[in-house]
Amino acid sequence: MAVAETTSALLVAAQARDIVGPDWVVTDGAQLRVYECDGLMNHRTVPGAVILPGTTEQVAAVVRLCHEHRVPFVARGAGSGLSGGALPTEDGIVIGLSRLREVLDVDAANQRVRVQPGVTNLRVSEVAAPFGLYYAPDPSSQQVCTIGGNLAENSGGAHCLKYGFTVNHVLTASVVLSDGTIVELGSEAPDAPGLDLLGVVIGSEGTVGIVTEALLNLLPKPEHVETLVAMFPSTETAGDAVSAIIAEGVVPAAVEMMDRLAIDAAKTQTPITWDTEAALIVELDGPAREVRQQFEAVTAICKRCGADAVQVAASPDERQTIWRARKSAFAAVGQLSPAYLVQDGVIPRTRLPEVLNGIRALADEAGLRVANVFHAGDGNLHPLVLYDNAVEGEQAKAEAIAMRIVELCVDFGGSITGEHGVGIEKVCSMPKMFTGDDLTAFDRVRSAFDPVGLCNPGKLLPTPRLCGEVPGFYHAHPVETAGLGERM
Amino acid sequence: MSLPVTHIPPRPSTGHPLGDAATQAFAEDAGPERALLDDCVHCGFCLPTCPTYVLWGEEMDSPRGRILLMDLADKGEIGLDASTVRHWDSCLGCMACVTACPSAVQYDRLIEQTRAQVEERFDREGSDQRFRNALFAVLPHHRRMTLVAAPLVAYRASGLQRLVRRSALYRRLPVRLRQLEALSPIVTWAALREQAPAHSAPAAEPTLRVAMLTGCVQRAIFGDVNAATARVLTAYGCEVVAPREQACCGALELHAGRQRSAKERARALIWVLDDPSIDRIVVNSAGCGSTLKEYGEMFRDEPSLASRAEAFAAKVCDVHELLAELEPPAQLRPLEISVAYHDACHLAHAQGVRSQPREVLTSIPGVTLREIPDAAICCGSAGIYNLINPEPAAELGRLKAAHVRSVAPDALAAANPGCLLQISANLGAEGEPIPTFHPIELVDASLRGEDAAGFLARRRALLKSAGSAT
Amino acid sequence: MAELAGILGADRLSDEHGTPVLTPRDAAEVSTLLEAASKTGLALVIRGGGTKTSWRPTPTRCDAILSTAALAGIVDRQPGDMTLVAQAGTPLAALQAAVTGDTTHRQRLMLDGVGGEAATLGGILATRAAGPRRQRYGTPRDIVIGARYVTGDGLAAKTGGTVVKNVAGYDLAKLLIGSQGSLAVITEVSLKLHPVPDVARTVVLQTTDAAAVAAFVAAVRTAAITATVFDVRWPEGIVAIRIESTPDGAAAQVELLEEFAQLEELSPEAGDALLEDHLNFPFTGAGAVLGVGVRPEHLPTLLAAVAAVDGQFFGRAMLVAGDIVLPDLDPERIGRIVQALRDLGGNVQARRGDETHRLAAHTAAPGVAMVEAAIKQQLDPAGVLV
Repeated sequence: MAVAETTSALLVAAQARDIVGPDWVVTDGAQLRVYECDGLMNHRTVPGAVILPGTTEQVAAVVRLCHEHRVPFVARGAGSGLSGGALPTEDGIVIGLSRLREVLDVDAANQRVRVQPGVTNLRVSEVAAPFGLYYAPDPSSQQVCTIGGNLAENSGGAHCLKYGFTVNHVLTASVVLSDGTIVELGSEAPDAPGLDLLGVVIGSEGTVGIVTEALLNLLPKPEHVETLVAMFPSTETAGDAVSAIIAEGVVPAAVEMMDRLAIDAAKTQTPITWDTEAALIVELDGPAREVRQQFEAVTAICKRCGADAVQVAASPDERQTIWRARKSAFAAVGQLSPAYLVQDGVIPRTRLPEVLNGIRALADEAGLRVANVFHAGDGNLHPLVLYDNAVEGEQAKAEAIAMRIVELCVDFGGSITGEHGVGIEKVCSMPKMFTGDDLTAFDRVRSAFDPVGLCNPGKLLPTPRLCGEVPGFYHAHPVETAGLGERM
Repeated sequence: MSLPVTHIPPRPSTGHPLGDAATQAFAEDAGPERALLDDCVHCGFCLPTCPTYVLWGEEMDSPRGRILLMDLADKGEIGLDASTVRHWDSCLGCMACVTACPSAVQYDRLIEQTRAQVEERFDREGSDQRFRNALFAVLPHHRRMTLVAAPLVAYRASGLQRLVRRSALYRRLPVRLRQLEALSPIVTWAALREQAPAHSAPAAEPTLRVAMLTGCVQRAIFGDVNAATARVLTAYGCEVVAPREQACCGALELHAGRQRSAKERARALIWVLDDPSIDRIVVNSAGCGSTLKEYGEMFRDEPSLASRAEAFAAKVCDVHELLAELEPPAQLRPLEISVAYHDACHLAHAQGVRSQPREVLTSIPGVTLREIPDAAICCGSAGIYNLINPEPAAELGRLKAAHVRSVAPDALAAANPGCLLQISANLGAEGEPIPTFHPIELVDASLRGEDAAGFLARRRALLKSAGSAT
Repeated sequence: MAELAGILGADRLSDEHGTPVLTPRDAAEVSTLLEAASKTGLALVIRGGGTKTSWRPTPTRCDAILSTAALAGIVDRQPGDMTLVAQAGTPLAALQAAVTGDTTHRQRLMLDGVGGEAATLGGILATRAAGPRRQRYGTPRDIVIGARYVTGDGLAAKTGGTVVKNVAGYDLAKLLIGSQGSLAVITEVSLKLHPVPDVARTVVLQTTDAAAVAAFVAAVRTAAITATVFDVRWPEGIVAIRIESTPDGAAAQVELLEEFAQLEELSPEAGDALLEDHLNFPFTGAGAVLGVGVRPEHLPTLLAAVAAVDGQFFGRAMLVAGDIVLPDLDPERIGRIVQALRDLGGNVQARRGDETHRLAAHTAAPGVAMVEAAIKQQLDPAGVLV
């Protein structure tokens, strides 16, 4: 892959002015700086230029330009991602999708909606609401994160336990490939023949193409919702309750757990009165009488497993307060500590107590505090490592134990990421979870979509430059790519 | 609901590449505070609430982007040049981002601190600077405002404005001039003449003794609102003093970065309004109220004034906050009207006052409230913003007007003179004008037993007399 | 034959009516086999239980069959996590029996064994086969959480993992599912399990009025109903809904359904028998079979089109997806129904009959075809997997 020189990015930018209009091409030094990172602040790279197209055709034309000049490009939605997926490449182009933010069509009768990638996740539910419908995947950043980003990361959210992920709610998508070709993937009708390319694109973290339109599936709002918060004397007992609930055959819409530190943080921002070591939020939704029966069972289980108290949301406002406490927990932690890191890992749910002990041990060893917020139903952990960036070396320590926690998850049979993606952040951790051959296979599929390697390069799969050689991960020698020799 | 946003592009970039380390942007110990800058974790929750990000979708014109530019400038990595300053200038100061931010970043403080440094250290382009100076030479001075406003009232009342707005000449006027014309106050002579009396007392023993801020723009062109405020407060059992000697509170200058003159005005105001016998200091203008509540902050570094300013600020309340606390008087007569209540940014976001004006309005028998969609997005007035940045302000004004129209209210109520001017100008654009009021005017009308239909008709006729400002 | 015997040894090679069959015992052997096949230019056809070989046109070339029969068995089961890892050659029926047979944990595997008792896990994935319970639980795409596979040139790799939530790496399981064995040999699959609900109740609407069926479906779509099965048999005129929930939850939903139309409730035994019937869709017989999917609003048009060719439709009424059985292999009849479905913007896949395959052949759009070809080239460069 040829590395683009500075002038190539500016050349693309110059020609892009004719496509998108001069107002929507950014080459000014200071202004480029504001695009140097997304929600992951400790990785920053200044792009060569930023281009903001206004239509699918413009996106394709800009990508074609990049392809022609061999300039790498990175798509960006709201820049709220936490794994650095929208981190620019040096001297590359950032293609911002923020101007493609129309809701194109709401087909209430058939429970679907067509949107552009810059529409925020929450907005989809907002336009669906008057029809008694909603969009199920609900990441905590839903008021700012965009659908394009959701497709890139295969976002879940608290309610994915029952309702699945983005990939389960997208029917079709228009995708601009790395050479500017626009392809329509998926099907409005079930059981399309051919390969499930849409299933590969969703979750590909922007490395195989740019989504410029999507047809999403909507669900009818549940007839009834019950939300409770159960206070447990320990995360272990709370975890036992989760296992018992699931063993009972109940599939809650969401099960979230927050530990003492996370609760203290949430309290600074939201008026909650939880005073406990572990709070378990359980939400049940569905047909009213079914929910009520399940709710009784769940409450009984919580008490049987040692809950000191169970608070039940008596109104939509109270329910919103509970969720606000949970969803703003990350940012609220900033009130307890000058700085913090949020991590994302998955473990088999039954190993929770052991993993939490492991995290505690790591935290104690480093002399730092770790707050835990997680999707208890599916084992997706979000440890929040608190540190003081004014203290020499503390940031590095925090980053180190954050990574070790993630690796701990893999040791217990889990995953390095449940929602935030690999991005740039965990690219060098991929070999912990995948062998060289696994990565080779991934790379082959990626090359099928992007032979030249211009589409968000350096993300998701390790590169020698970033991570050093990965044993077994096949990289073609230039002699081979030139067709002058063969690997034996 | 979704209304199409026409994509008014930002002004073209002056586009020069990042040079060597520029001269230090901010003075030592001045400019945006490092601790506050570090609070931002780059989550982006502020983006969808920011009017300029909603308009343009460009990271530089979002709170997160502006904070990043402040951070870079503070570190000396970029200097104060036109392309950077432009993004701080384009900020409306609406503070919707402050409400949305889960990390409690004090963006309002940051932008104020930054703007103060910009005013001091950045050389604005000539005509821009002169225009700003002219604005600040007139607006904060109520007598000069009246002098400027009087011919404008004549311009409207004589029918000339209507003719001009229909003429071909009007459409050929430069945008900025058209904008100014569009915002020319749609007020009566009475509004210019009336004022709140220097002292008014209730019939029975007063429960509270309050000082009332009469303001600058409010006093000059909405004197009738001030008079109504005094009447209403008295009816609610307050003794009201509204000293004639008081002048502008400094809000417009403070929000524009003119710290020195803002502080001078604040000092003078404290001197005039503050008195141990005063229980509360009541403000009927959102922008002013939020600044008065910040007086303690403003003078925290001046030991001689700090505690007095702090005590002063503690007494400040918006008129709706006070009325919501007090017992409504018996003589509130029915007004059968539907009212769309507009949340002024400096009341909702800056002061967190949202429920009280709604409570006050619904305490009037017969009044029903209509909620305006996307209520948290600024109307575009933003102090002098609509005068300095007419295009985005106009787009936001149009959006707001369309949202108001979408709920088809009998009237619109807003507790800020700037918002009223901006929204009136945009509501008048098509169809039957929707009459606009300060909520206090509606309470006053109810107390006086006014007939709703007549009351609305008169205001409608006034708005119609100006003609359409498209 | 000798050449084939040399790859894995003679004991892995057998002969079926003149066709060589290779039966590797583990992923390593699969890898060895495919690597060798790539080098020598062999063409291999993967076979699990052989129940759905008619779901693709007969390959023009076949040097040997690669049987997954020896790649069978449960690798790992975590009842507490509700996950299961099994080898791809395991018959689905055996897997399900193992899961439901474990009475200490009331769990089940929600993959419908389309094709019959011999259908293997790998085959279900490769054909993306789904039955009536997809109404609630989805297709294999929604149940699989990870897989191990061997590419056409012998690279043994894995995708996904063994936890239900995971976004690390590309989700190549989605690529393999439905790839009809053209990209890789699936050797192992990680699955998520579901709890067994307390009670099941089945109600049936009998009507030959397509409009009434459509109205019923529309009512159910927006109602507080979670159906596990919502099937229609046409022109027989039977619409069946199976509700699985808590006792009172099920009662409430049945009561609600009875408000929408005149329904008959089946006894639990009859309800289970009906489900069995629907699970064991008749792929026997001689007529053409087509798998179809149309947009939900096209159900009435679909039913009319099926009646017009004297066919039978057996499928999910709300999605809409299912199978059409024709009385014979008459090309004109097949052509008509295919055209009718295409006119609706629907999807058709032939399930039986080479002629059917020819008439229902799908051509991908140019951009998509390019990517599919590139993927094939990357994963099976020598074209071993036909």
